[in-house]
Amino acid sequence: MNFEFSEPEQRFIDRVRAFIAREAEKNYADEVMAPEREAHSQLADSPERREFCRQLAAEGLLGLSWPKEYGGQELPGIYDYFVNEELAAVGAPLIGKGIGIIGQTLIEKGTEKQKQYFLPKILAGEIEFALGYTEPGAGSDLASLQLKAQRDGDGFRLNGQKTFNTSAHFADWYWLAARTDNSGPSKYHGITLFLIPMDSKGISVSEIETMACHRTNEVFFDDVRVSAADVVGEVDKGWELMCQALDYERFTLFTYSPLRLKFDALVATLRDWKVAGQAALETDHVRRKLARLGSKLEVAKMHQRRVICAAAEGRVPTVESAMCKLYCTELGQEICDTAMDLLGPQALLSEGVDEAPLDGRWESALRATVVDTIGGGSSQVQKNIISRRHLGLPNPN
Amino acid sequence: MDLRFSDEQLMLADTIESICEQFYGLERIRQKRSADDSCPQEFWQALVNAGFSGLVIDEEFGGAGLGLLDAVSVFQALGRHLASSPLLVSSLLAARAIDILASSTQRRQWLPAIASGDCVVSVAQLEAGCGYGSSSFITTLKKGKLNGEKILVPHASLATHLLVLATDEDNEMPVCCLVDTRQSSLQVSPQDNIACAEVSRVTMVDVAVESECIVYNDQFWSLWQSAMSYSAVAAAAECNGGAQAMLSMTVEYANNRIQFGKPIGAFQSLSHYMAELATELEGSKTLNHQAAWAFDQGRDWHLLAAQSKLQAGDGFRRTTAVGTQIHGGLGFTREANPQLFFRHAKLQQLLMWDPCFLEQHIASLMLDTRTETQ
Repeated sequence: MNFEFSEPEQRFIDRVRAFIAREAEKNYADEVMAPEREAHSQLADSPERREFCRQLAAEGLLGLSWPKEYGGQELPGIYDYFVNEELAAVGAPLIGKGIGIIGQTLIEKGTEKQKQYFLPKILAGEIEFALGYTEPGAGSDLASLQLKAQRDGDGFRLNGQKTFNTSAHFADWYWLAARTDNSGPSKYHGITLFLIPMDSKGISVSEIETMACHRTNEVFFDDVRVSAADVVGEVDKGWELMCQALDYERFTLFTYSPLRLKFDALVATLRDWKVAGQAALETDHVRRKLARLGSKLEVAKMHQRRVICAAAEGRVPTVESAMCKLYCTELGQEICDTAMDLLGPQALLSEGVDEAPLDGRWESALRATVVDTIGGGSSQVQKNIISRRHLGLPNPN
Repeated sequence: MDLRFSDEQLMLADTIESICEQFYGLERIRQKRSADDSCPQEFWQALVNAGFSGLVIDEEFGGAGLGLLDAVSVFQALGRHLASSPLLVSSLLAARAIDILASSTQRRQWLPAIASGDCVVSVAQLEAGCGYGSSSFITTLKKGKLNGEKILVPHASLATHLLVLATDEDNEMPVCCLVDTRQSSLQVSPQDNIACAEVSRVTMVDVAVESECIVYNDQFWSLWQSAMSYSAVAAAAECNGGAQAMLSMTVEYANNRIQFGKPIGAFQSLSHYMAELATELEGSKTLNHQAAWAFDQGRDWHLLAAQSKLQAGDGFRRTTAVGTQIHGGLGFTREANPQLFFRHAKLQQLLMWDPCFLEQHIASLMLDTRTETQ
């Protein structure tokens, strides 16, 4: 057994850290690296953050796991994760869907034309995507999606609605799952993937406000005309591609370091905090709660290590990722909740209020982390995966 | 990074499995009705014959000189069978304490004897009213005589000697003494308990201690805690083994038990509990392995050891509580095994450092200025 990263892995991680340290010296660092702003790291768009993505590309940190013929470096997928872990540790934008879900799928199933157009742009960090999966009637049961794609000459006509499509308001392209056939033997048949311009005629995006400080969107399709060349893979057979891509997404998108940051920030806050006149860190119940949280944090790290290890062995870490996502996201909420409990009523105060501890970080974090156990496969979906694939329990249906 | 046990470690576990199956199956454990019942002599003898009593003792003292991670593999397997023996208290805790606290003469005298199984040393630490955190013992050593009363002393009937923690009257500092169990001034009486485990009260009235059997050390308490940390890693492995067995048993039951026309494991109200337990267990096992690995590699390990025992003890407890619930009425009966795991889980959670002590201990390692030793 060995809990250390291999030498090449460690060298690579050091290289990413050196890159981040250089970027942190630049003028735009305050906007780009914002660990205290939940969700900002993944979901915000600004000229500075786009520039940072181009720097990531210039440093050669995008497309690490891609084949060399498409400009990649043929490293194991886990290297993308290493980059994300380090980026998350400073609250910088993560390597997103472009390199992951979209790039990987295009490389496997895209047409030559799609590869030639999209892959270089993704590698250069020049293109933003929105993911169009969820619908009002298709959340955890994604395969029951009903956005209608009707044959129309040599193309299709799209009608219907998507919801919770984060970044749809600034993305350039739309990775979209639609229903091309409803008469198949099961709901998994008849789903088709499309890649279309976000500004296609007939698409309208409207904001969904959330209780956290990040926006998401609902998207309406009114006779949106797309061509056959916009289809990714085969018509009616998109579900399989989506599943493969989700397996990949699960282990690259859920990082451990934000938990560590939060815990350290909590301990730091409590060092200067008093409970009934006594130093908080000398108060028994505070110490006990922190001991519990600190132990769970170490378990979270173990789950992350299990994902890394499985991936490094060349396995798809489906079960490990499900456990990691489940454990880490639940713990993230627990840290915020415990932080507020320990700090007391003052923790209710928001950013900008003088008396707010850590400038209102905790109350905003409590609101922001709600989505972590819902999006990307809810905790209950993860438990289904673990029940069936790890424990061999029967399918509820 | 490689999180798998080596082939040798897996073989150690296999050997334990077959010794347990041959000499100390769950059926035998189910028959235990009181704290009088010791583990079968032939089970202990088989462990000794296979060299387990010297597993982690240095080769220079006749042991196998293996690492803590090797021991973890062994204790996980023992835990799966709930197979308690003097191995943990004698070959890990007492041996480790003697190794880091005692003089070189004492080490040469005791470690080979423990490794060979000629001596079985149990530990008398706890006293009524004071838990693992207290270093001021009511039991005293005065003019070469021990007086006091210890509780929850494990496996006294197989023990040839006791390592007794006491307060040295001369300087009010903690010391420990090795005493022969077979003397009339030392009285052993079994104490009935939640799991019918063999634990005893030991009453000492003017127990004579030879001077070469007294272990003095300027840093007695911190080194003793270090020996406890070491054993807590093995105890945590035992908890993880128990949790693993309970979870497998529960999953199997949920796959076979039909209610409302389908296996009850198909109900998410039950399967989601099991998924949570599996997630905690896998995390807890990896944490336990990391603690042992860190020790073997000479890195900081005390905090990891304490965190591991806390997580593993709690995990075992929760797994047996939920697992018993999923077994329904059957889980409550003496004829089935869930109750055995349920009762042992609480025992193992509270022994070899209980959660309340562990929280304080972890907090001080994590929050106060710390320097790691040993």
